[in-house]
Amino acid sequence: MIETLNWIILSYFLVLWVGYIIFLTSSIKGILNKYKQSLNNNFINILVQSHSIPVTVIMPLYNFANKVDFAIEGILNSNYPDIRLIIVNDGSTDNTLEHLIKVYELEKVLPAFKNSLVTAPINCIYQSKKFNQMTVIDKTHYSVISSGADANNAALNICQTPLFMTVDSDTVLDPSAITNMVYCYLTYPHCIAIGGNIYIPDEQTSLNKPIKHQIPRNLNLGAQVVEYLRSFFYGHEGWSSIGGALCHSGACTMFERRAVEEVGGFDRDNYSYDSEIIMKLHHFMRKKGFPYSVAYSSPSIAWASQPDTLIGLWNQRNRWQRGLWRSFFTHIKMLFNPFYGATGLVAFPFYFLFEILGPVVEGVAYILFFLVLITHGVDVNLVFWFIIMAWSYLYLITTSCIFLNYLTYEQYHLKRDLFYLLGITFLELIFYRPFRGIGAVWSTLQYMFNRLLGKCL
Amino acid sequence: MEILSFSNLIIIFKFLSLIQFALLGILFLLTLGYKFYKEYHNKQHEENVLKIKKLLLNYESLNDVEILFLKKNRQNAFVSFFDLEKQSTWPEHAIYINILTEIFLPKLQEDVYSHDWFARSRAAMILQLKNKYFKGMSAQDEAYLMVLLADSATIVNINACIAVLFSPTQKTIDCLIDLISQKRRSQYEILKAILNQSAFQVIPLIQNRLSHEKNIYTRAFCYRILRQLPKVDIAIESLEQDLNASEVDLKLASLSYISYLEKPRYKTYLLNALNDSDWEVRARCAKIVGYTGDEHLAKALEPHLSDEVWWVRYRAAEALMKMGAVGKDILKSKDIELDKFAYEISQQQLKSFQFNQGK
Repeated sequence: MIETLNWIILSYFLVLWVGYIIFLTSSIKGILNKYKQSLNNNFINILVQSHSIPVTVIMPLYNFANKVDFAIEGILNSNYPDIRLIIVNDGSTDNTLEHLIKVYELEKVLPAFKNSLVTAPINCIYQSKKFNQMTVIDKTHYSVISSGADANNAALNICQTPLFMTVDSDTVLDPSAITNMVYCYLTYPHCIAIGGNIYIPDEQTSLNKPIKHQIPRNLNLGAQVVEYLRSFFYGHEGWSSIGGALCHSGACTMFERRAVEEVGGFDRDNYSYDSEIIMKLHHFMRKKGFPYSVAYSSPSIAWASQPDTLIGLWNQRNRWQRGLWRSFFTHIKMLFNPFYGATGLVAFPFYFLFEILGPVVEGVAYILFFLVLITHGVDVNLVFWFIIMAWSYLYLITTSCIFLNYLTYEQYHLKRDLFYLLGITFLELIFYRPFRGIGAVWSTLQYMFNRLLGKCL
Repeated sequence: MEILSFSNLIIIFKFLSLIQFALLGILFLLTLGYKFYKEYHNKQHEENVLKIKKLLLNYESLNDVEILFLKKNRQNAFVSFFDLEKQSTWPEHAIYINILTEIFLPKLQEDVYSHDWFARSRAAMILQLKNKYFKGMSAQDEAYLMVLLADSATIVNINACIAVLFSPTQKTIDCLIDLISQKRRSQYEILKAILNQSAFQVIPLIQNRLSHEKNIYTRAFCYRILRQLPKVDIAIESLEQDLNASEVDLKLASLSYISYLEKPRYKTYLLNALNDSDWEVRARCAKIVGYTGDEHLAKALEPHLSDEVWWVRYRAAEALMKMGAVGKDILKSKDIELDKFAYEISQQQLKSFQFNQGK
């Protein structure tokens, strides 16, 4: 039994190896092309800003007083000329609203909004006297599952621009991020969503200080930097070659408002609502037979804080994994369904097998390894070469992403941090990946158990 | 299973590890090589930009070698040229025309059919400048613009659309209408906004299109565009038929158009549509009535403040606000005891008006 499972897992990793190498190869070309274009900043500005499309930035806030100013400034300092900002205070219990009223000189306005998307009740709408383009919605907290999704839906009810983007309250946008996203929107045919490139800042961002472009010294955050570099540098770009990514980070993604309204807005019953909305858009557009594209803009850079403790990371990944399972079962109809084209036949199965199931299989592999070690004992030579192979593979993928970052956007001072990053990659296989894998197995079991109890996730 | 014995597996693992380490080495060398190339290229790029600006400013005194240099670097040359043109650095148009003719136009065909959308966008912008400085459009330019209008990238379409509007022809306007009416909603709105800014030589071209167009959505789109352009009363053969069309979109677009022109019997059509059984028609018609600003129609809107559908009540109240004193009096006259719905929607509009006045 264990032997059969071992062979299945081995075959799985071999397929994964081939898939990721293909992804990597296709993404190198894409990233370098986009980088080459981004060097022509002046031309992009001429193209985009001469006929700028108004863009609304939506930022949900929950108990984030005093820490949000830097994120707001990041948006207001953008070089894009036509931005509106909607901040949603999602029933904060601290002094978030009072802080906003004081700092941004908010005054009450009459609540006038569409009720096209269902949300928790809105208490009041404020307009900033300091920044005309800034509106604040004060709403009741939606505590059932995803308050972020509910807050985004509330903002969508008053959003009037054809494009909007979601930004987390702990995310700082690069000044040219929105311009690059709009440029990307205009260059893809029938584009409905564009994902941005997420970097993890050093620990100080959450303390409202300027971002230091260096790899966090916290090992936990460092491992996430490596993971994000891989995910954004070859994952998202690679997905573009097989019909567009099925997941973009909610911390920095631009959408066509009408498309999101047509699919009924963000799913309030899903923790991974950012991934769910992208799958929903794919599903809807394919079902209706509408032409569309989901793009990824690597020059659109955002700095998003991540959990720096193991408990925080465990909880975050637990929510994500359960959310992904919910999304998978919601859109299971697309799986290997030729009616959904490349998304149904390639992207969705690949996403399920390697992104949703990947960490679970990895976790099971670690558990099995220890089981075999205890019960049967293992061939030391075989294990040694297996680990060398796994390490060299991880190094190959990670180093190529680190080098890509070094050659293109150079957001980290790589000369200083290179060895640190390589060291983290070495340690990743020992502490981070087992932790993530076992977490994924636990989350999957929790999801299945909750479903049996009739809960949504 | 025999092939996958432990000893064979070790060989496979060793082999894969070796390949991966070899790839890692190659990657490292490639990165180093590209890094040096990038540094050299960036330095060269900065020097080129400065040199190009200088050359363009002294264009009249350039020799053949310098002109060739500008031609070779036409992306950078174009950005600098566009900036200088916007700042009106040159006193005479003749210099613009010389630069356009000698540097950019010889490679226009190459740009139009390029795989790179940067080059295609540049081609569309060159055609904009050409149409701006040279009167009339050649058959060749018209063909180029048709190619650029059919491009899959919206950014190329936007610039081609602007180029078309400098000297519109029947062919290019038809192509533009086809393009815009097939776009997704937000892209449709962007292109429509550009088309709305066009001069009124476009009007007869759109009218001509309407005279033979069969697609109802394209017809509706044409009416919407005409509704945004200066008032020119032109005869449209099938207008009567469109006003009675079963397709709501076409019916309302044509209705909005005749109300804008205040054509005879437009009030009769509006009043009929206000009492339509479809709430969407009633709501959108109320909005059109608001645009007319005709005080005589205010009374007809009043019953719709009590409509069973919120959107109809909202649009009726909004329209009444646009009708001056008569409309506002009707809104103020609503009593909470007699009709709660009409009262609430009227108060919402009145308060919103007061708030905007206060600001």
